[in-house]
Amino acid sequence: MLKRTIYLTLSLLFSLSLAAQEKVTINGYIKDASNGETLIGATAYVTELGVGATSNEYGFYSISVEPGTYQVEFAYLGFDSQILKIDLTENTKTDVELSVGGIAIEEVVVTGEAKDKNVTDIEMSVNKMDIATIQKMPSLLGEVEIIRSIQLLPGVTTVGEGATGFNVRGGSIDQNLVLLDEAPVYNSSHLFGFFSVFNPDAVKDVKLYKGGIPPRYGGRLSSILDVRMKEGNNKNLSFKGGIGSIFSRFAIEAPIVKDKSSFILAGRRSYIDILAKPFLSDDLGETVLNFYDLTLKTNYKFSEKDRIFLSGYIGRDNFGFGDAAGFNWGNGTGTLRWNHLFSDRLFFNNTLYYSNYDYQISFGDDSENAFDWNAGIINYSTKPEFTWFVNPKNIFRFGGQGIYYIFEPGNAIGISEGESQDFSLPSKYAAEAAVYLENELDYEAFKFNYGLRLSYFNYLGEGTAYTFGEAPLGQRRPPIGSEIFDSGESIQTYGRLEPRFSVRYQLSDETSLKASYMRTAQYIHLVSNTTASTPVDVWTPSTNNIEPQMADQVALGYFRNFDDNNYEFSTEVYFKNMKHLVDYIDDADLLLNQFIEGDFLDGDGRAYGWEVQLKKNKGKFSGWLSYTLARTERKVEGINNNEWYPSRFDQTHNFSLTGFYEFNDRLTLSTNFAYISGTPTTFPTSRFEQQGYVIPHNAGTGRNNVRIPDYHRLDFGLTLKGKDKPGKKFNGEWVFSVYNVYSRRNAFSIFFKPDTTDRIAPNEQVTTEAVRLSVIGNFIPAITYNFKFN
Amino acid sequence: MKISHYLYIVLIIGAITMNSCEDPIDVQLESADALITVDAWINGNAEDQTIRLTQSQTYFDNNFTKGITDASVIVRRGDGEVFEFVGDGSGNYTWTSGGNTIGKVDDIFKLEVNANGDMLTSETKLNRVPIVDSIYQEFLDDFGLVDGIYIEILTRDLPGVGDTYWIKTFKNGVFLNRADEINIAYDAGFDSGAETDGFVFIPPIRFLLNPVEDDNPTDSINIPSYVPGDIARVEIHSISNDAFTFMETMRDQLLNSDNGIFAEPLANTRGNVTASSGNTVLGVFNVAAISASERVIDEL
Repeated sequence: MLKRTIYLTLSLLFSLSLAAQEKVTINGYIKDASNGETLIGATAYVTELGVGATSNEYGFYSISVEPGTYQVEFAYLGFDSQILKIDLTENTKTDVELSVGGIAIEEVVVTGEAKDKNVTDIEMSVNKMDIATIQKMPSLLGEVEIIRSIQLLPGVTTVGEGATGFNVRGGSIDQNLVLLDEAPVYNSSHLFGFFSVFNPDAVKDVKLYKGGIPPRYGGRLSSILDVRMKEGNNKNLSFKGGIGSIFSRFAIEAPIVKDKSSFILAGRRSYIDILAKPFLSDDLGETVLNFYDLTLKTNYKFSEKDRIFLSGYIGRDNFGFGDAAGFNWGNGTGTLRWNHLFSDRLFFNNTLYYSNYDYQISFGDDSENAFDWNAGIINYSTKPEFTWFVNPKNIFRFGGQGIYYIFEPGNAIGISEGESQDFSLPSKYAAEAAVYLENELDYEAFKFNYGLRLSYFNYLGEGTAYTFGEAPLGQRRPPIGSEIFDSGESIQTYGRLEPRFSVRYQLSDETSLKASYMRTAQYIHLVSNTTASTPVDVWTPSTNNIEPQMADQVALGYFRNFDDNNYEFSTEVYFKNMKHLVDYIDDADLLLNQFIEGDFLDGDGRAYGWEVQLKKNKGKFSGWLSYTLARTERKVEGINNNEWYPSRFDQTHNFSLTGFYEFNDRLTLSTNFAYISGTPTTFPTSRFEQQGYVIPHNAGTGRNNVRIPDYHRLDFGLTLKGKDKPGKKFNGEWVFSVYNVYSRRNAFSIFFKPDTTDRIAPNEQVTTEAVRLSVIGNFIPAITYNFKFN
Repeated sequence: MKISHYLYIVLIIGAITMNSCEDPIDVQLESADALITVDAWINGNAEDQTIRLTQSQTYFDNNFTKGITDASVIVRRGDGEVFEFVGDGSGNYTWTSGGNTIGKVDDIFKLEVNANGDMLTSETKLNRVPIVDSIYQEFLDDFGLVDGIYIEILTRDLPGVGDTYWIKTFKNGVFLNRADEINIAYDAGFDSGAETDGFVFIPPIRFLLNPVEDDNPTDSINIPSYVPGDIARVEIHSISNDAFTFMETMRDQLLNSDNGIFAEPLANTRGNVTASSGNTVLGVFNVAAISASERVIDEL
């Protein structure tokens, strides 16, 4: 069967290439004229033939047509289009540089893509945010925030303010593959969930796939957040930065060899500790509290056909209390990419990356008594990919990926009265591999993107594989056997076929219908049973006891643009079915526990919803409105009497409005408003006494039986730019923002506890009460100053 | 192992800039029937032993718990010896020792309670306990601690996996009963997965013998740290693995609100008493061996 499929595919490819032979190709890169940055998703359109192409992640486009003289229009929203008359008798390379649109009012704030892309593109369940838009949105403490911005999109939720990560269409936070220049970022937050690790000055493009994920992406169930970094100005030296309430930022970019090589180096550091130092007493003066990140990217163009990119990121959060205790965590990533043009129509990229997340905790300030603990995950990967632009209506992508994982579940050494105790758990190893083939095909009013991803996972030695006995549902399963495996020996393997399919049917120039189906598999899991994930949560591979998570999702959408693409409307319904989700017994021991798998439960999930988005792209007033009606549920043997229950991030209604009003070239007002149904949580029904302690008990319907109050919040932002004069090199702007304008105390959660944390005297009556925890209890004003020099 | 407590310290510092807040609010709870609660933590010392039977109440009912007064309570030892617990009309049932003990290490005990027409039973073993050799004292001025005298024990867990203990401290005869003073150990560590068999108790356990400062230190029931002349008494009670699991859940639930955004979902404690009717019975039956040590705090 497989042989036949391969044979058929190859013969199809061969015949297509033959058919295409008489054609000539025009290709090249589409760039921003001001700094030489390549533009992702710009279009090249052959007017006479009505065919076109979109530039890929590297700004590359390729169109093959019959020889002739054509008018080719290059366009990118927010930029002036360029029309070139090209005499195509042979393969031609044409790089195009587009300039930013002349009239600031016309600047498109919502998306930076071809005008009717909402309707004509095959992609559905995809949101693109350009960094200029994100920068204008009002934000907490004035810090431009990528993750918090995408939480305003339909289908994206969070368990609450300050929680790390985000939830997409009912998926947990570990089901999002967050990529920074293709390397996964395992913890996307600084200071728990308040700020994301992405420095906005270094980011070029952010794209979120909530469904219809193409076969070239894999490894997570629910979404891909693809963050691409800038390449660096290859025209001239420029720098920019800002001074905000939390971070100060500085970024410098410049050509190394003009038009051949450039770099960008961007850094941020928080300075709460520096500001606070004078106010802290002596022993608190030793407190360390800071977070920083550093992003570097450079590229070199060897020839018209070869270009390499090297990018790296390091970020760290540090907390310390003198010598007594310290806690730090952070990510590091490195990506090396090589673009090569095998022919005018065959584009190749190979990505090698390294990614690491780790944390360290230490207690104790003398050599006699101390506790040191660290854990993390490291991975190395290679990811070759070919894109073959057969003709403007037919594109093939094929490639593969190999990943090697090292899991460090916890290395802990305790020294107690000089006696050292080692609680370390052995490292775990795994390899993941995938191959895929994907075809994008235009056929009259239809456009298809379909393909297959074949993924494979191997849980490797050296290591000990445990087997667990039976236990009553929802209780710890005892280890009953173990087997030791040598280095490199395979402990457990899994293979999964992941078909993907998307179709667009164009009803008119302004209207289309889209549908998609995807199956996704996930082999690594974040172990976390707290409401918000903590930085000490560790990742674990699928093992002989933990099966890979699987999901099937179907989505249907209707897309309509109005008023010459000024308004974009889209609505989608989706249904997602998930299998083998990880869950845990009550009171699971998830840290430094060698028998952790005995505390795992295997669950099912389902999520369905209706999403609507209306965007206004042009004019003095622009912005978007999102609404989601959704339900996300879990069913786990041993929880909630084995019945379906709503997940902690189930939000029935989620409404948000983001608007921008440009008074003039210098002054822009922005606003966010969000209204979100209360998320479910578990309340007790009763209390009882044991040895003098008053203990809550739920004798009723079980997990997540009540909802906390609805969440709503209004924010404002005002951006005032300095006067712009021709030839002026230095530009500054002030950003004023107010977060949570009407000081609503939104509940993150509700706790039940005795009304005092004080000691209770024997025979004293104990009063119990419900307490609302609001992470942000007031309005938060902030001022940020940004500057740039070109 | 619950690192979230330490994380919370970190979060507090973050919260200074984030002005988070907690307010009491009114919420509507589902109603539920009262459940029988067995509070049966007895020991092998030659002293009177008391078991308390009560009803659970709705969560916001702040009255004293209602005792179950018309039950019959006996404890049956493995060799057939029966100990009768006599009710005092308030829900407390007492066996009068008369200088005898209920049993010794490795004895098996069965609790039989006839209450509200239901037969409640539970079985447990009197487990071994290590000797508390001595209590040490030292003056500390470490970060995050009130400068003062602190005590510590250097007791070693008995060899053999799966010993579980409840370490109770009394300062001048008053039991340190805050939820964050609950000190339990699985072997020498926090839980079963950590492989601490036969070690000296790990530092957080050795050290959790000191009163935690109250939020309101002028409160009449505040217990300040040790001063010379104070009497510190440390008792190690052997508890069954079931009792340990119960206490672990209980402690996590009582301290869960301290974990802020990192709280775990509400979890019910799991006791070891069952009813012939199949109804849920709350609470634990445990028979402890107790080892103890006392020290008068010295001038440093």
